[in-house]
Amino acid sequence: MRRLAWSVVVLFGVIIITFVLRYIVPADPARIIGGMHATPQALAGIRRQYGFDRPLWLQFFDYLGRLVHGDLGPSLALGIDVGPALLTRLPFTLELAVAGLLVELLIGIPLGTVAALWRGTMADRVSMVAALCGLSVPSFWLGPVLLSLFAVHWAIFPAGGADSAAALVLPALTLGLAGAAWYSRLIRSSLLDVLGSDYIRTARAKGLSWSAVVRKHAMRNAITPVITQIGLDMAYFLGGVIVVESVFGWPGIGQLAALAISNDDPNLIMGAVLVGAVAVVLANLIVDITYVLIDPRVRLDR
Amino acid sequence: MQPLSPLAARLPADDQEPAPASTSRHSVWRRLRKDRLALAGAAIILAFAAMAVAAPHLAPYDPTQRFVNGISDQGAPLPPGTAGFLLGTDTIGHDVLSRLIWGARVSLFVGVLANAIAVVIGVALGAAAGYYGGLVSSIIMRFTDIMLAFPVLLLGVALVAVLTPGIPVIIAVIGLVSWTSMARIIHGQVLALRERDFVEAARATGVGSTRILLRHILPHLVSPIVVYSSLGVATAVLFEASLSFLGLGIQPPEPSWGRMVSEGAAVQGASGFAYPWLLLFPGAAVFLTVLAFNLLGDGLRDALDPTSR
Repeated sequence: MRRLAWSVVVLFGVIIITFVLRYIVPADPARIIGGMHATPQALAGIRRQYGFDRPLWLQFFDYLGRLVHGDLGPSLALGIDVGPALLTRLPFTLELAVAGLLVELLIGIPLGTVAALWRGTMADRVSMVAALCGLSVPSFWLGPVLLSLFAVHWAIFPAGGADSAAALVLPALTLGLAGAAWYSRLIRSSLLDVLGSDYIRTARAKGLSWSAVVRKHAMRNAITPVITQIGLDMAYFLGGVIVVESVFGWPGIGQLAALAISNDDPNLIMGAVLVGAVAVVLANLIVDITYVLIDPRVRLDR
Repeated sequence: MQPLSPLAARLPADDQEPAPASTSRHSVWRRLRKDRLALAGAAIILAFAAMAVAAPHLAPYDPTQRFVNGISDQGAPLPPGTAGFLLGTDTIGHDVLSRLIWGARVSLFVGVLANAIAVVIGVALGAAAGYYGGLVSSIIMRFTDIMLAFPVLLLGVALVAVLTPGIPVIIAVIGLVSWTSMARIIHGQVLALRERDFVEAARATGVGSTRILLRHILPHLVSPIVVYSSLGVATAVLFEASLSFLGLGIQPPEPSWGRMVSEGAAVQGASGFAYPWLLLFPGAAVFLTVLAFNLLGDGLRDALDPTSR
């Protein structure tokens, strides 16, 4: 319950900051909405319509009111409303995010587990160095390289768009590879911590086989930092999709944001930031709830 | 995507203990010297730094100069090894090698400065929250939580787009959105340090709070600051390169690795690999730089706290 209340506060803070950001810009907000070539009358009209001539706190309430109706303002360059535009694209980005998460987990967890169990061996060291490399690869490099290799040169995967499940593969890989590297390191250290603890030794002393110990006891506890990390991942993904969606032509929020950049469309960008932050808060909330469901001790603690 | 090196963007446990007593400078140095990966990282960083500093003398040509003979008769860029152009040219006739060398300047400059800003903000906020506790701590840490909700690259992109792209703006923006991880770490460290004997002793002798913070606590923060700075520079370099890739970074004709990658990706053509050197070299440069800082940061962390392996 506390988590829920806290999330609301964070959400509110996010909205406040997004609102403030419009005004730190050393430009006339009316001009931002009206565009570079707006006439003085048009600007005055915009000011009246959006209430820019009113005191700041009143403007904030106007802003809140508009938000509640889903009105994020007009997108200058595209001539459509920001809110609906973002909303229609959100499912695509979410789909990509989930796929990326799967990539991260399916590659990262086995890799890290193996490294922990075979600690100190060549396999461990090699995989950890590989993980470090994976972390350092820029996605804006990996994306085009994968695209060139597997979609253009050898036409295994489609070169863009979101028409088929196959189209999801390359972007998800690009998005998830760095995270996979991170998870492998995370689970390795977490598992090593858990394996050194007393109750594991007790289980072994009782005669449980190694694999049973790992499966039944160790993993369950080692996995908790990973779950916490998943919540933080959402923030990372929503940044990452700008690059990945542009490179692969994936019709999500990121691509729209990239378009907004080249079209100099501040309303759209700010809208994307807001939607992104909201998504992050919600994702973290879901993670927290999952946490509570998985680990009853947390429930009692809180 | 990797606008940010996850190593620094992810948050470690808040309650990390400050390094134990086995951190005499001598033993740290010894451990570091044995860590071959960290040394490799340091070597790469030094190489790039030297490249950046010596750019005017090292680069064969002016990076913004367009060579008429830099494009083939069909208008295509020249591959590496062509006379006079060691790493080839791009579609406009620039020398790739020169642009790579000068690009190191930008990347390292922005990376180090942006990280410095993030460190200053993060340490100030984290230490204040950790030491003063109470309402101050609540406000600061809650603010940190709110900042964490924003997808960092998205926020950075938004800020740079709304202000005009330019080196100072980029440095400031990257610094302003990247301080949260450092703040959390320092917060945890100061919380633990606050309870130590020497702090009690100082307080008992009547030393003022600010003085305690600066003279007594800050020196103990040096090792986490150094470690996470290395990782932070990696993040910042990646951030700048991503911004440049999206067109928000260093503007043409100044060279920037990120933009070189985006330009390279755009011309690969129907075969997918028409001019691979345009894509591979700048990307490799970013990758190696980020990797080097990550290796060094990792090595430093292990050297300063060997129990963490």
